[in-house]
Amino acid sequence: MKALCWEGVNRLSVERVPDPQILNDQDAIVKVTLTTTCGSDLHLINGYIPTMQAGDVIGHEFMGEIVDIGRGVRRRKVGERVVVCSFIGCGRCWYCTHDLWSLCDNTNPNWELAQDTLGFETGGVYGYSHAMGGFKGSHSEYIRVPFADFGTFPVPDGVSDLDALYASDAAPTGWMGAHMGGVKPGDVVAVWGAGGVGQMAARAAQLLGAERVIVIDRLPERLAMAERYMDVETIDFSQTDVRADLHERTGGRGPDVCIEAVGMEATGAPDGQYAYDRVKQQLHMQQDRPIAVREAIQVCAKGGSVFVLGVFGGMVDRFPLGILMNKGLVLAGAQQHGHRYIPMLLKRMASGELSASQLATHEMSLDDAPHGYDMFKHKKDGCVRVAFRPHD
Amino acid sequence: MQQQIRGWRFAAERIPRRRVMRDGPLAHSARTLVSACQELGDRARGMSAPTHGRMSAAQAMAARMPARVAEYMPGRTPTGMMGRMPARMAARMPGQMMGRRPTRMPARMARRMSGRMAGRMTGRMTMPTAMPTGMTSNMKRVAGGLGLLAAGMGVARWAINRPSARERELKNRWIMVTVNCSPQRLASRADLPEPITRLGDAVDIKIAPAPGDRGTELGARLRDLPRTKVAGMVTRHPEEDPRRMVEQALRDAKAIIETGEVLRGEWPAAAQAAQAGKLLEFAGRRGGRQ
Repeated sequence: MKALCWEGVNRLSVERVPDPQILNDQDAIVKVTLTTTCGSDLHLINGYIPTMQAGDVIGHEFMGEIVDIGRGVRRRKVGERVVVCSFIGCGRCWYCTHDLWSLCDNTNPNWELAQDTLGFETGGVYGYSHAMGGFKGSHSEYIRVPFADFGTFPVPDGVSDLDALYASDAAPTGWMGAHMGGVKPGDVVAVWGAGGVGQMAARAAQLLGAERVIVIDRLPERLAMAERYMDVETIDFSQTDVRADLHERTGGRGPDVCIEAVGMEATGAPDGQYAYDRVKQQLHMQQDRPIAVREAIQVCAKGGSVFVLGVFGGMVDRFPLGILMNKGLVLAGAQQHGHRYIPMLLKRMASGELSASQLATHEMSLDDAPHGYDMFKHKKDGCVRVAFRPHD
Repeated sequence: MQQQIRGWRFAAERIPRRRVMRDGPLAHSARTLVSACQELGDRARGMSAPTHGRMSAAQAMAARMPARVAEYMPGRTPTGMMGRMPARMAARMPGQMMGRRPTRMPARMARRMSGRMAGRMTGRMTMPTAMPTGMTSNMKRVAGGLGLLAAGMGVARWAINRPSARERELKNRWIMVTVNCSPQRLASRADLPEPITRLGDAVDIKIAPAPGDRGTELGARLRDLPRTKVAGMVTRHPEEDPRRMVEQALRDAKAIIETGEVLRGEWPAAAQAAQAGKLLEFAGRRGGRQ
């Protein structure tokens, strides 16, 4: 089958790879009908995530049709249209049974590698380095799905493929940021990053009752999309002082909940932070550029909360711990516990309450995936997300 | 004597140091040491001059310090502890803490300036006439040397006595996992799944309820640690580390109890088989079944 392979830093190519096989009784094989780019893939492509090997198939956000199941699969059957959570959960360890699915104890076969790189092991995830399980990614025609009873979710008839596609990762990740960030009715919520996850977090905050939602980015087309589809306020951080602007809009208090949906490759900062972080990152003295996290902590209302949705890999410098402590903030973060939210999100999509298909600004065949990632990475032509159709 | 030493100190800060005359009665360093010892002896006998006046002088000087810094360095923001400290707070601090900076800081600042400005600044300096410190600088040198010596001895003692990295690494700890099941499910050794039983008598097993609703803590520990030769091999080949094999067995057992199977990775099957083979080999040897 054909698949999009990581061949080195900033090198992607479509290659022929072996077809997936059922290796465990609880596996299923899914024919991928739609798979999409994600901002966290850029960290792999740009070489910031360790333990990648040439030939690794990338991609983790997808939907498709079950074409084969192992003899231990009980709740799914061949032919079902399903969306698959990007993280793999066994469904029976303590973390899975307590809705902390991305921390699953039993789905990372490369636990030693993960311990070497992170100090502990997360659950497995598709196409996201060997330290996170070494599973083949979804930018391929077929994919093996372990623990299919728990990781696949039938898509209701009223939900389009493009909406369901983003129920795999962007929508549950965004929802988790608003939910675990503690958004309550009447809150003012600020979201850093107007990509797919940021927009879904903003919509989730609205649905959880936030009085006002403010989205911060520098790309006018993304801010315009957020205004058009979610009717949120926006701030272009390249044109204004974000801290002063947020204080002005919130009566001097700052947002009650700050959601960071940017990650380790943040750009643009008013006081030279970007250059400082970039130099240290290039010299391998620091792994991440946490500009948005710093800003969120600095501007958050006293006693508020900051939730980190963006992907980070290691140590950071110039972290405002004194502000965090003295302001009485709650700081939390997580990889997505998608299994917890996907059924609810699919229901909301079916009822029309939540729409995500607008995120797919471009659709193309898997053969054009390297070009698609180039557009996505450099934000060409107003690209927010590219959806690939492997069988076209 | 003290006045002479003070005079020498400030002169030394302004002019380059020269070689001491050999035919003098005592070298500078010897005079310094003698005077320091004399002062220490005087203090030990309770003969030192009262320090109260010196402390008061130091506190007063500290209170004026921010203003003095501003005067000497116009246009620069005072930095550091002294620069940021309000005058009232500085005045409250003990003379021994504050005495050093007021007497030496202006001279240091002046020395750091270069060119014409240096001369101008030095010319404007007014040195304090009294040395507002609890100890003379020579006494500080002696005390500092003794402190360094003591610290060095302490570090050496710690380095000699602490366990080596290898000793710490190879300490025979329990390797633990927490299984999401009730303790009754693992009531006896016979209830344990095959990855553990395969280890035979090579390991001790520990089972205990976990706090709260967290299930059961399952642990294993090697009965015999590998000897030195094996330890060397372990360092070179982690996949042959018996402790790692025990940990893998525990993880596999946990996965089987919780999910019914061990998830297989998508790495080459040959690598997995080699790893499993090592585990079996070790387990059989230790279990006496080979």
